[in-house]
Parts: sequence; C-alpha cells; structure tokens
Amino acid sequence: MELKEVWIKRQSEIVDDVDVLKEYVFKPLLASIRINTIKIKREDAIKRLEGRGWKLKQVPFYENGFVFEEKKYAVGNTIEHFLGYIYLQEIASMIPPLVLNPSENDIVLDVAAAPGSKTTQMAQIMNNRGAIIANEKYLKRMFSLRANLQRCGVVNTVCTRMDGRRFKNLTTKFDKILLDAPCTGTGIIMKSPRTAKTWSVKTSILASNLQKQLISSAISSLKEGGVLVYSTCSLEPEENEAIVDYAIKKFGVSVEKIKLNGFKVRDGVTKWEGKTFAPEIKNCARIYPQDNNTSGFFVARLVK
Amino acid sequence: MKILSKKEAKEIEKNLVETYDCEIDLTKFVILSTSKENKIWLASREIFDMNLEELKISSIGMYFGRMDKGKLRLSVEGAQIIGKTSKKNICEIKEVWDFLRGFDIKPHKLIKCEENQYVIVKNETDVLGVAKLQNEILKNVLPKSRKITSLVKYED
Repeated sequence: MELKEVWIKRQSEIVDDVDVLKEYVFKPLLASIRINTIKIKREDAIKRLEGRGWKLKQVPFYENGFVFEEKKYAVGNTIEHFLGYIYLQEIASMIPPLVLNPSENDIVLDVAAAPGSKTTQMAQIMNNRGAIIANEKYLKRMFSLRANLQRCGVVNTVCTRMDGRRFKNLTTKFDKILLDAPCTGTGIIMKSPRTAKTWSVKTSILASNLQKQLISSAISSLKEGGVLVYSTCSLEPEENEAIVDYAIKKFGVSVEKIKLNGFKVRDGVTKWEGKTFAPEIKNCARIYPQDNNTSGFFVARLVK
Repeated sequence: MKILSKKEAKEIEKNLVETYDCEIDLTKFVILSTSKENKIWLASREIFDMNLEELKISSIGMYFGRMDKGKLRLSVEGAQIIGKTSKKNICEIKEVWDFLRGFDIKPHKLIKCEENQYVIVKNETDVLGVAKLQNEILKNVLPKSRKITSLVKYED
C-alpha cells in the first residue's frame, strides 16, 4: 500500500521530517495494555504479569499504561484479560482521558464511546464513582462497548444510543466531555492500511462538517467552566485545528496547553491553506507516530 | 428498568449472605432490575442525579446477575464481588482452560457446597464466575460471549 502524493505533500507542509513519518505510518504498533485498577491493584497486577514472564515497560506519562518489551502471547486470549485485570489499549489512546482528568464527583459525557477503551479508563480514573454517559450511535458498536464495560466491572456508566448532535437539547449539563470524534483515521494507517487508499481531502472535509456539529452540540451541553477534550486519530488540520478554531470563534472557549511527561507532542498548526487560526491553537497537541512510536493523534483541551 | 426499594435490596443481600456466607454492602450502589428477564444491575448513585428520562438508554451500570427459580445466578463480575469474602458454596478448579471454553468440569475442591446451587468457581485467588453444582459436576453457565476458544496457557 502506498501513500497518496497529495497526503505526503500536505504533511510536508506541517512537519519537516515527512520521510520519517512515511516510514512510521506503516510500522506495526507496539503492543500495550492498561491495568484495570477497578479490578486489581496495580502492584498486584505487575507482580502477577511479571511472574508470567511478561516483559513490560511503563508508559512514561501514565502509571497504569504498559508497553510490551517482548510480546509472547495473544493478550486478548489470556486469563488476565478474561478476568478484566487488563485492557488492550494503544498508548496514544490513553492520552485523552488523562487530559480530561475526570473526578469522582463529575458527570461526564463520552460522545462517541465504542469500543470503550477511553470510557473504561475514565471510569477507572473516577474510581468507579460519579457518572458517565457512554454514547454510541451504532447498535453494532454498542455490543463491544457494553461487553468491555462489563468485563472491566464498571458501575458508573449509562450506555445511550443517540445521535451525538442531539446532546445540546438535554437539560442535563456536564462537568466534563470527551469528544473522540469520528474521523478519517490518517493517524492509524498502520492499523487500517486501507485508509491510505480511501483518504482524500474531500473525506476530511466531509468528516469536518460532522465534527463541527458534534463539537457545537458538546459545548452547548457543557457547564460553564466545564472541560471538553476533543481528539481524533487523524492528522488532517481540517479535522483538528480547524474544528478547535471554529469552537473558539463560535463559543469563546479557551484552549489549555497539554503536557505529558516523557512524551513528545508537537504544537497545533496555526496556519493552514491560507487560513490563520486563533493563536491559542498552538496549545493543542499533535502526536506523530515517529515521535514516540505510537499511532498519530490530535488532542485539545477546551474550557468553557 | 426499575430501581429496587431498600427492602428489596436487603432481600438480595440476605439471599447472598445466606448462599455464600459473604460480607456484602450493596447500599453504596443503586440496584436495578428488569422484570422481564429477572436481571439485576448495580449502578453508582451519582447516575441518578441526571435526568435519565431524556436519554435513549441501552443499559445502566453493571450486570450483577439474575434470579433463576429463587436463586441468584451471578455474572462473572457479580461473582468477583461476592467471591472476595464468601466462605460457602465455593469450588476450586484446576482446569481453567476447560472452564473458560465452556465445558462442564469436576471440581478439585468443594467448600461447603450445596447441590443444585450456583457455586462460585475459583482458581487459586481468581474468581472465574459461577457454575451449577449437580451430582458433583460443575455445569458450565458461562455466557457464549465470555467463552475463550484459544486461551493462552502459561508454562510453569
């Protein structure tokens, strides 16, 4: 599978190491897990897994995230996975819940929750207290969401099947919202190589139309002073900075800087194809595959 | 879904204590039931601070178990909560692989087990779920969605 010239050209306008990016785009991801502290203490899990001969290295920015230094097993078929002690989760996907940092007293909305990696992680951060609305529009994806919540022993979640654009109509307002938006997925080509073929500028623009509607609805349902984390697994400015810029200009939200210990992130782009975005767009985080050997991601922390 | 009253919740607690001789405090949860399937769910209290009527709900909280002819058949997660402190109706098995594949198995050790009861199935400290004890055989009731067809077996 080859990358489209237009995509390479666009990325070369954002980064100066596009040749390295091209290599990493198809490089298999490191196997990584999250210890589910709802079911097992971190120390007990580490002892147990190391006793099994697993060679694990902690993710620098998260005490419950681990990368396999040497992977011997299909992790999804282990007893630890069955018991809900561990969750298979890609490193970059652990970032949005940490950036949102929900607390035990929060009412949280996860707009596009399936398959539930981030929802179960948020439940864990909240010590299984407070409340999360885990929304998933599509029935087929709802099954995996519910199965993962069950396996992880999550009690603080309501699963809903609604169009994410309708949350603005609710009387309930949320303390924190995670909008891990549907996107073209150009950051995860290594997981889905077909994206290299199917992506076009048009697909990004189409995605951005929906993303604008979703972020508008999400901000409308956020309490004053509430926090919204917007993330995608796309590297396209139309789906990322342009959406945050739209939110700043329409709703007056502010964008906070994201810092992760021992993990390289790049600033959001402030100019794209003749458009100048709000200066604070720089505070958004671009996660490139070649920087930390992860999937590509975009994360922004907005405060209403 | 219906929220159980304090009295109904106490009945469930009583049933669990009688069956498993366990220490359990369900008051920190809201307990819900679906009358059609007799299923019981546990949910955090804070969920009910929201206006749930305006949501198109698929599920609330964690599936805890269901009433089956007066006996509570716990889910894997329900068994893990109860199994931490239970002293009765517990069986230990060695054939984890067979259990997770859905086979009926002969228990290795029975601890105060009653026939025709849903007993908690353990392997060392791991609670794997429940099974129905019939004629000293554990009848596997693991849901299809939880069965594992190619479990990783560790070398000793």
